[in-house]
Amino acid sequence: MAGSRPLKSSPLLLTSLLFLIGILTLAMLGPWLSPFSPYEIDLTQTNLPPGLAHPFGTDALGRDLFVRAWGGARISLFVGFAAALIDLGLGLMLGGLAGYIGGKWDTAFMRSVEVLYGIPYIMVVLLLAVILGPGVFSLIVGMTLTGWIPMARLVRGEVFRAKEEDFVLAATAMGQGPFRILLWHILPNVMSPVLVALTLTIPQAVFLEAFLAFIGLGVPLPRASLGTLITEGARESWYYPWQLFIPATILCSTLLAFNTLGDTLRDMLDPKRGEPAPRPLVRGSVNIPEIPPEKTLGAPLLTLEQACVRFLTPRGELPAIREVSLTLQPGEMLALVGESGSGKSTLGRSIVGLLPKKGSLVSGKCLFMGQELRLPRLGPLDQLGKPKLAMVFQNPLGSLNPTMQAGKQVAEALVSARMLSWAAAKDEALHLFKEVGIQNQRRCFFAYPHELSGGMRQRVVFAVMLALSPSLLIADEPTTALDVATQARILALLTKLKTTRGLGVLFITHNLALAKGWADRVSVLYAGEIVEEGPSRRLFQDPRHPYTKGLLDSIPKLDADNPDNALFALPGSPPDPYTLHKGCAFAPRCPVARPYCKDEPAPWVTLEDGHRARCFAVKEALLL
Amino acid sequence: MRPARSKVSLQSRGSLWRLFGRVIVMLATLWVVATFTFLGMRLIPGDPFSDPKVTPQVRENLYRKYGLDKPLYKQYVRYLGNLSRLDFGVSYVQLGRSVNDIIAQGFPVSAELGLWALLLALFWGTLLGTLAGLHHEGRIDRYATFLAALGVSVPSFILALFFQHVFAFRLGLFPVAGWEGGIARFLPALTLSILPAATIARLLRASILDVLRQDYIQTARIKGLAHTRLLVHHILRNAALSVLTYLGPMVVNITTGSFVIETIFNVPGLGKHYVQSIYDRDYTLVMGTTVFYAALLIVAMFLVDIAYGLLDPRIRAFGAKER
Ligand code: SF4
Repeated sequence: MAGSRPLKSSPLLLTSLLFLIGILTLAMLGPWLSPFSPYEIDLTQTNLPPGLAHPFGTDALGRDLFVRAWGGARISLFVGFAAALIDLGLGLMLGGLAGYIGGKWDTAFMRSVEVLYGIPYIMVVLLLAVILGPGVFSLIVGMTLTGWIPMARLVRGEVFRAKEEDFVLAATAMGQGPFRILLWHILPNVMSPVLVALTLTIPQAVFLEAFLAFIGLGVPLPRASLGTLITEGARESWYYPWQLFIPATILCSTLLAFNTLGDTLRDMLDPKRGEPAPRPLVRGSVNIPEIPPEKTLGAPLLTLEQACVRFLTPRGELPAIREVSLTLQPGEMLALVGESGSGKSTLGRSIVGLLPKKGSLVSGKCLFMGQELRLPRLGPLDQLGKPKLAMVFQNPLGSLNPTMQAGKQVAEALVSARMLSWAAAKDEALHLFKEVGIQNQRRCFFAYPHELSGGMRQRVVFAVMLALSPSLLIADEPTTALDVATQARILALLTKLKTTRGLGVLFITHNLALAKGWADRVSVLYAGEIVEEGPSRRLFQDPRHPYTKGLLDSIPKLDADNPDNALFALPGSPPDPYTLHKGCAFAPRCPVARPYCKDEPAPWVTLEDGHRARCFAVKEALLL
Repeated sequence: MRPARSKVSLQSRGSLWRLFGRVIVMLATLWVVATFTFLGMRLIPGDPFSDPKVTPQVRENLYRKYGLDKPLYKQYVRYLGNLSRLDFGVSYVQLGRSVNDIIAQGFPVSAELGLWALLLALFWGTLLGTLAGLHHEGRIDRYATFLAALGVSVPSFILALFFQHVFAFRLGLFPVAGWEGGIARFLPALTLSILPAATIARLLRASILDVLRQDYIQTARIKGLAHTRLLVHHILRNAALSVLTYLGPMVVNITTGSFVIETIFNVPGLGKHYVQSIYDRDYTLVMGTTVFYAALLIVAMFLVDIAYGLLDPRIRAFGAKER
């Protein structure tokens, strides 16, 4: 992310950087831009307002404030940079060594650092300024005495991580010395957090210097930092406000620019930045109308027609879902299988309305119980409209609120969806816990999610969703985070709910074995498109699409104990969604690709029992 | 992801050990500060009584009185003994006044000021941070983020001078200085609250954005909860936890901020006395008060850490989370 023209993509970064360069230049050159000396006293020219000769005016002793201000900025910035660089040097060296040596030395180091780190930084600086006497030297010593610790911790952590990485192991094996490894292999990795820390340490030191100047511990006279100037200006601020205003503005804007620079850098280097922006709270909501039962009889629970989802990303438009059509009947489990990145999760989220609001374009038709849901406008489901859609996510720990007791999360849903009282909701929640197969319901009710096992958590999530009495449950990799035995138990539970409650289940998974074992029908998704679908048994016995075939052939290769690993061990890699051509997306990997597959959309071929595949080869085989 | 532990007793014993470890570290920190201060005192050239006006006879008496005639290690032991009895020493300039005296007089005022500032900071910070986080990348977010960035960039003494100038001198809305009556408390408390408020706002915003990405928020949305419930119980409650880690540094910020703010607004708190003693170069008073402040902050941060452990159900063990 950060690599792609960071300056252009962030005007804030550019502005603050340019501003800082300007300030630095003025601080360096300022004294030469004026004929006056910062220490020259001229009692005939006291307290002049800003004018041509003295752009910033003069002070009570007739000294030119322009030279004094930029000279002061130089001192302040020198203190800031010196302190930050020494922190960096010490931090890199000590943190790097501790991380590199490890073991007992490292433990001893960390213990003593912990003791030192508890000392309030400001107190150290104050004490040193008193003991050594105020001055640039004592300031910098005071600031760096404990200031290097955060940097050292950062570096140590990174070194520990880097030590495990292959290229570092290789370098060690090749006999490179520790300093060489630190310098060439580890340093580049720590650069971004260190850079951020550095940009935030400098303003902190400048800030502290000004603070000390104000309480009489700044650089000794006649030299003056910005802090000194502000302190002097404050005494005269009633009559000559510019004497305070000008140095204060320089100081504040410099600090602001540094902080903005640090913030923008941190945001840019943040690995999370690539994720879609979270959806803000939306006021509007969808009403899902109550539908008379006779109207829904026989009608499919969910119908998608030509559904498309595109994301606007910095790289351009990303087509995540391309013209997907599918139907799901009540009491049916439809498995949506595909590699990661095939768009299966996006499809699930788009039906419930959980796509990021910014930058996602949705088109197509979605009929839920015969009523049209307008995909692009889906917001949180209306609390009065009785939600009939529910969704379970991959990570059961992540989908439960970590700071709320499990039972309360179920009860809360009951209160809001079924308008129960809290007492009634609690009883009902215990019933639901029983229904999803939780043994010790009462204990589970009061437990926090982290106190439960993975399978237990997922059961709680199911209970939460059942509290909504849904007709359709979208289960996005509901068992991936669980062990094999629990997986089977959870899927058995889903199957039971399917029959007892007539629940339609859209089961999103990358695990073919699970789809084969549990789903009624299967749709295979590749690069945002359905390439083959049909009743589970048919599809697995007689796969037609080359992609499905490839998948099934790759199954025997994996180790039987852990069917979760090494799935989709197909030659080649999934296509880059940004550069899809018009024809079949699988063409580059397809063993039987025709020359025209790339250029023309493949035709749908209908086989018996609702088994369909979308492929030229299938069509031609049928015609033969 | 830790697997759920079944044996609660084992867990609580572990956390007791950790608590014990934390106390040891805290005591060690206090000891380092005290020793550092003691040695620092000896480093200052001359001593408080080397004034030529003091006759040798008087000087000897003073030496004996303050134990300066004893060997260094005895002085050190005596000094540590005094500290452990919470005796922070005496002023060598204002003869007859002890640091404890000055603390007893000034600290309640400073504590009150700090408390008001804390409350204001929590209010402003939460408001600004929540608004910004919920309107991510919208106009409100941009304004709030800018305000918060300004808040952490403008040093409190500049802010104090500015507020004093505008609201007290020019507009006459508040008294220029002093601590008489409720209205006089407003400006100092407001000024003192700005830095922590801005920091809270920034942390809360980032943490709300983080929380909004979590699946449990999606779960809560699917539940169709009312907006206030979603906001308070699911978004804010989780986002606030990461802000709690800032409570320790916040105590430090408010304390040091109070040094200059009490000086500017002439509030008769400990901070003002402290700055005055620095101006007067009353070394022993400075040292005594510094040790007091350091101890206060170290203990406060320790308590905040423990509170954090108690408030987050995931962190049962004290200080188990790496800072
Ligand atoms: S359409 Fe062509 S490229 Fe695509 S799967 Fe069929 S044969 Fe292969």
